[in-house]
Amino acid sequence: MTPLIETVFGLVFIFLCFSLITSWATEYLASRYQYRARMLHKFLSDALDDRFNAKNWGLVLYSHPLIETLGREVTKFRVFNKLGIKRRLPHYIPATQFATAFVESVLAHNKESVFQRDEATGKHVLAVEESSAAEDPFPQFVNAVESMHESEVKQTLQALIRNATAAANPLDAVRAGLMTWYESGMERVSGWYKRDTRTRLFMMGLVVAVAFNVNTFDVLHSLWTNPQMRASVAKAADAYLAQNATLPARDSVRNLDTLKARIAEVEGMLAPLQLPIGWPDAESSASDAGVVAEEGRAWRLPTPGEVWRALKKNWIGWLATALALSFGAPFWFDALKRVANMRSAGAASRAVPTGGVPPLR
Amino acid sequence: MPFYNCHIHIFSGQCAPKRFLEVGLPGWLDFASGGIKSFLETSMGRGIMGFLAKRKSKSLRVMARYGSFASIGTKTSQQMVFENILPFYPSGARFVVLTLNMDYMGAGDSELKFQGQIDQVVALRRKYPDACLPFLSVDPRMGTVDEIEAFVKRYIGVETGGAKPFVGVKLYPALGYFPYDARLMGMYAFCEQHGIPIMTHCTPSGSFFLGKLTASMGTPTTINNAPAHQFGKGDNAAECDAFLLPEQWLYVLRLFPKLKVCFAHMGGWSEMWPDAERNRQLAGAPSWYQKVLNLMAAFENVYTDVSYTLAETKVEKKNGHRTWHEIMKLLDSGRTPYGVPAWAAPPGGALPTPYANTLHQRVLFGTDYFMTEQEEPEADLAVKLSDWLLRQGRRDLYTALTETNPEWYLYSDFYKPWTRVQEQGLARNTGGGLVRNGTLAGAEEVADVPPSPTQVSGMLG
Repeated sequence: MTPLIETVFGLVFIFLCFSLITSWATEYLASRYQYRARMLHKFLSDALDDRFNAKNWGLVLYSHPLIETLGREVTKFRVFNKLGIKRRLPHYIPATQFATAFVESVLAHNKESVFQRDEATGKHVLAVEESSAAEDPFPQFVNAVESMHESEVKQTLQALIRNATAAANPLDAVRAGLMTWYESGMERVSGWYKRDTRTRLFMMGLVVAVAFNVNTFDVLHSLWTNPQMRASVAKAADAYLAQNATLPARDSVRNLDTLKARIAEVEGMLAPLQLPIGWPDAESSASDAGVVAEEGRAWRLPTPGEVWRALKKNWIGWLATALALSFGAPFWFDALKRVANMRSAGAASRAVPTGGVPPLR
Repeated sequence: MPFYNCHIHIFSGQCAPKRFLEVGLPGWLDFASGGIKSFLETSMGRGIMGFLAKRKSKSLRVMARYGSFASIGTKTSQQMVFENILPFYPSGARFVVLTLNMDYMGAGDSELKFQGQIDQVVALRRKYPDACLPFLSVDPRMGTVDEIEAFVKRYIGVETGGAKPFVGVKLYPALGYFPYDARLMGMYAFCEQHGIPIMTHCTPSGSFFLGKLTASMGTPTTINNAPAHQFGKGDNAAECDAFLLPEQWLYVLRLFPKLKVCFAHMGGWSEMWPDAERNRQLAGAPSWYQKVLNLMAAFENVYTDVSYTLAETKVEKKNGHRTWHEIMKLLDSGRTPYGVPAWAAPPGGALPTPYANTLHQRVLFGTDYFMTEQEEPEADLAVKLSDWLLRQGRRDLYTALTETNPEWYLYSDFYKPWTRVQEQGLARNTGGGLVRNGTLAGAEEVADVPPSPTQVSGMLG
């Protein structure tokens, strides 16, 4: 059993290492291209699209200051204004801010904006609006909703109004209703994001498998037939578990330099083990297309020609690797710990006692 | 007196339908317009569009023109697009911001929808009440004549304590309607009565209706017995020129002679210079540019603007900046180098031109930001023509183009520009607001005559 467990242990450790790279790269791209923020944006845009009132309430919300300021980041690149503030989509909107911004947007639906000429300067200014702090805004909210054309958004708001009329503070009750709606929507968005992440992990896993030439079957074969390699991989895995009680935070890779540094750390761990991973230092001129020399492998990006020549022999192995990596680093970290426990239990049961009960014959 | 840019766009990609880019794509790429629009949001996409904009091929440049819209418009909000232009202009400058209802152009719905676009522009005006002067886009397919009139009155007019947020109306007939559509009649009457300015696109290039051109689109109920139009078998880009022809406006202007209309782009750069980039022979017929000048000569409140025509600077350099010379001559004498050509056979009969001597008072400065961004950055467009005029020693023409003429264009019962009201030149015309005298604006220095308190309160309604 030991060689089998050791082989599995080694394979799981290798999968863990590359799934870390996959997860980091996926997370870096998700952050760079705002996948979470876009998914949230799409959800609100689709759910609050009101064609009968010719308005997308979701998109209108994003220009409300309560939401818009959530997406601001300070940047050294002064692209659109002199303040050096870069605007991005917010990747998370607190429910209270969503509800408040939505109520404000509905109140603004019916609001008149009036402009006057300032006789002192000749410039046009917004007319001073009477403060309505003392007024109950709920009737204005109801009027604004009633003034809308019939639509799903109007019906939803009318339902919230009906539920709120008996409350002591009806507008707060409407906000609470909106928060509940929003939070249930966020649960669905989280589910969609997880499914989307799985797909992206698979695609990135495929890229990693090809980029680092990680053929699952080649690795498995090498571990099974080479005891020294198996032992050195197990030793590296034990050292990793001793140093890392948990995985690094998922969102710790925010820029390309950090990603490169992390990849270099993994390379530092695996390169001395002389695994059948990576591309040859010099392009192989072997007549048997797709055969990669065992000696002189390096962690470098392949040329398209190399990939094409290796494709026929390795595509199944690469796909298997991609499938494995799509399970994610937490899965393989847990798996590594379990196999490590199995190894420990197996070693303990094989230990010869120095005294006490003699072994059974 | 503030500087005016009478023609800018700030709509973001959310305001445009997903298939909007089909106006600039070759037909075989239409299926991918949505994906291309998304690609143009990336840095690589913008870089490619910038490269295409400088190519010689007209179709590539047309594609790049819409790419500039996508690359600027999709990445930002309307407010950001507006704020991006402010640094290129003097402090206190005012901008005519043209909304555009693209929900009927046969390219599907926009994400934001038109009401959302309007609401954002109103919110922008609240932040920039003096700099942002929005025009309300109107499309006859929005409703009946009464509904359209009510829609316009909802946003343009007087409210308790002041004026409503919009100061003019924008029309873009190439999106699928004729200007003489009877559903616009109530709006025209309202605009003529109160001197509300209208801006209409008037050049063969630009956006156009992307759906199927049906016979009924050629035969709407019309104002003034305008004839039915039969569409040919050409592509929409060519057929939709029929909506834009300057002569279509004769049916409107003969019924509403004091209507204040600006024919943007001077008919188009390619129409100004028939030897350049023309795909059809004039065969003795007047160009769109000549027709626009005739309309200006025939009707006292017809204007034009120089937007987009300024952007053809590459070709212009080779031709000694002839467009700038043309504009200067128009501003100077009200006459073009070719004289004011008589329109031989306008629909409805001969066109008297009693206002031929005041063309110079009705030329406006505009840039068509951001549609020209890939060809000529706004930072350059904003200053090139005006700098050139100043170098020619014609500060008076610069003032007329960028300050005086726009004020007269924008002036209405509901919007009063900075008070440089010339009492000697004022005549209240019950049909259409203020009328200028026949003097050459800009050539004379007219003393500032501040309005009396009675005038002020009257102006504010």
